[in-house]
Amino acid sequence: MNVRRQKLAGWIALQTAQATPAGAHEVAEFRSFNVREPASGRSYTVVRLRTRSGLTGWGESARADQATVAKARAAILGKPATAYAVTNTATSLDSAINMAMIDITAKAANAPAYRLLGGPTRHKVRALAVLHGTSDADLKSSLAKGIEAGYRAFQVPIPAVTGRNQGQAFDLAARMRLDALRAAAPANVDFVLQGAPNLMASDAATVAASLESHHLLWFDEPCPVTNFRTIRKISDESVTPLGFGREVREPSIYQDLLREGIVDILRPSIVHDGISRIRQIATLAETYYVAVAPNHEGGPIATAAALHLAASLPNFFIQHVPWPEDERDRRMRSEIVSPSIETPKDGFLALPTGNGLGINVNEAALTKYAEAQA
Amino acid sequence: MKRRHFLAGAALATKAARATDLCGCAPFVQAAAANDAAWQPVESGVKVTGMKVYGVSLTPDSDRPYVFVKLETNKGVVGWGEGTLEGKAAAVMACIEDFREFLIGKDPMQVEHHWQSMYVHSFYRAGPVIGSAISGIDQALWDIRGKVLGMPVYKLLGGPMDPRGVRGYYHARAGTKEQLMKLRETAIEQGVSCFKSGIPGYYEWIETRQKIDRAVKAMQLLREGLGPNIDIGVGFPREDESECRVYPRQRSRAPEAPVHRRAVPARKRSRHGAHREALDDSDSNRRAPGRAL
Repeated sequence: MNVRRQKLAGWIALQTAQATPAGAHEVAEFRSFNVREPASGRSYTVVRLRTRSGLTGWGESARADQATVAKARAAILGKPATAYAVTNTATSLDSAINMAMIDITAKAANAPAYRLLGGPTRHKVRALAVLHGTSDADLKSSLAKGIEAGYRAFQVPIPAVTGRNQGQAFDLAARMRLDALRAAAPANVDFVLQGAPNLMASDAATVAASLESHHLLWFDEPCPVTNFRTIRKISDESVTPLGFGREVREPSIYQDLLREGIVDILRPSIVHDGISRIRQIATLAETYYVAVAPNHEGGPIATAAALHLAASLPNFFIQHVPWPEDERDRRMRSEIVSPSIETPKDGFLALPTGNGLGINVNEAALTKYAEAQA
Repeated sequence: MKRRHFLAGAALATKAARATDLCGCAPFVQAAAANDAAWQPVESGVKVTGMKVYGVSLTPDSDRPYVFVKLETNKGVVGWGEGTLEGKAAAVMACIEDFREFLIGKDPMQVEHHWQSMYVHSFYRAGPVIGSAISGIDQALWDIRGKVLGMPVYKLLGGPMDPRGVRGYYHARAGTKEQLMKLRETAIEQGVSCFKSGIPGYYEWIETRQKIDRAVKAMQLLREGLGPNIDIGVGFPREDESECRVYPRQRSRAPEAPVHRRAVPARKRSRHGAHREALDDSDSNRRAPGRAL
C-alpha cells in the first residue's frame, strides 16, 4: 500500500507539473479605471489584471475610491489568477477581480468563459430593459423604442406612491398602466413590475393580486427584505412571482428567503457579486426550483461577464441589461467594448464566442470617458 | 411509440406554445433538438463517439466490484469516471448503458447542461443507482474537459482552496492496543490524520447495556491506541441512534449516516446529543499535512 501510494503521489505530482508551470499565471499587474457615462453620470470601476505569463483579464465593479483600489491591489498581486473561486481581497472590487481572473483562466484554457464554467447551458441569453420615464405616456413611448431596439421584456415602475395605504385609486392606476402597455405591445412582450422603496406591503399585496391575470414575469422588490412576515403576506395573497435582491449583499439572506419559500426570482447583482458568488447563489436557488435574474447597474464589461454567467447556469432566467436613454451613453458603452454585445435580437443577446470573456476593451475609450479625479 | 419520442413531441408542443422559450436551456427542448443549428456557434467541436463500461472485482467473491466508465471523443481525448455502488454494480452498469444513446454525439464540454438533462429529463429522478451512473458519466465528462482545456479540473473550478492538497480519511484493520499504536506510528509517518471505524457486532432496535458498554470500550481502545492527534470517524449501521448519544465523550468526528436519512427526527436527536463536529477547513489546515495535488 505504501509503495502504491508513493507511486501515485509521484505520478500526480508529474501530471500537475506538466499542466501548470510554476507561477505562470501569477497576477503581476493591477490597474483600475474609473469611467463615467456622459449623460446619466453613472460611474463604475474597470479593472485590468495582467499575469506574469502575459495574459490580460478585464472586470468591472461599482465605483471604488482610491483607498479601496490600493487595498485590492496589495491583496491581489502575486496571487495565482486561476484560483478565481477561492481568492478575495475583502474589498468592493472583488466582483471585478473575479471577472478578470475568470477571463484570464478561460484565455489560458483557450476557451470562452462559459465553457470553462461547464456551459453552455443555452445558446443565447434573454434580456430585460428598464423602461424610461414616470408617466404613462413616457413609458409607452419608451416601450416602442425598446421594442425597436430588440428588447421583448421590460421592467415597468409602479405608479408614484403618494402615501400609506392608498386604496383603490393606486391599484387602478397600476392596472391601467399595465393595461395600456400590454395593449401597445405584441403578444411576445413580457413585463416586470418594479416596486418602490416607499410602497406599503398592504398596497403591494393588493396590486400583486389584482395584476395576476397580466402574468407578470415577476413583481420586483414589492417591499424591503428586512421583514419576512411582510413578504410572506404578499406571497400568500397572490400567484404573482416575487423577485428580491437589490438590497441583498449576503448570500445567507437568499438562503433564508428560499427556506421561507417566499421568493421566486433571485436578483443578485453582477457588478457587486461577480460571477462566482452568483454561481453559488444560483446553486442554492436551484435546489428550491427558483430562478436567477441578475441585476446590472454597471457598464459593458459586466454585461459580457453576465452573458457568460447566464450560459453557465441551468436556472438562469433573464439578464437586466442597462439600456441608456441618451445616445451618448450608448456610444460610450459600444466604444469601450467590441464586438458589440449589448444589442438584443428578438429579445435575446448572443453569446460572445471568443476566448475568455470574448471581448476587446478599448483602453483609449477608458481614458476618454475617465471620471474626473475628485 | 417510444417514451423518448413521446417526450420529444411534448417538447415541441411546449416550444410552440411558449414562443419565447427558445434559448435552448430547457432540457426537454434540448433533447428534442440536439442538432439544432442554433447551438453550432457555441459548440466546442468535440463530440462523444463511444462509451465503455467496466465492472472490476479485486477478488472473485468481492462484494464491491468497481464500476468504471470511459468516454471516447472524436479528438482522441478520453475521459474516465467511476460509479461504484456497493452491492448494485450490475444495476449501475446497466443504468450507464441506458445513457449511451443520450451521450453519443453530444458535446462533452457542456457538462452542466448534460447533468441537468440526465438528472431532470429522465422523469424518474435519481436515487442511488441513477445517481451513481450520472456521477460516473459526469466525472468522465470533467476529465475530458480538463484534458481538452489543458488544466487540472480543480483549476477549471477556480481552485485550489488549499495548495497542499486534500485531507483524507482511511480504513485500517487493528484490533489490539499494540496494533493500534503501530498503526498510529505508520499513519503519522505517512501523513494520515484520520481513520474511519465502525462498531463491533450487530445491533438491535433497543440496545442492551452490555452492547453499549462494548461499543464504548471499543471506541476508548481506538482513542487510546491512536492517541490524541489522530481523528476518528465512525460509520454507524442505520438503526443505532442510542450509540450515537453515547459516543460524544470519545471526541469522535462526525458520525456517518447515524440513522437512516428517512428518519429525520431521530437524526436531529442524535446530532444534538453527539456534539457533531463539522470537518471544517481551518481544523484540517491546522492538523493535517494532506495529500499533494
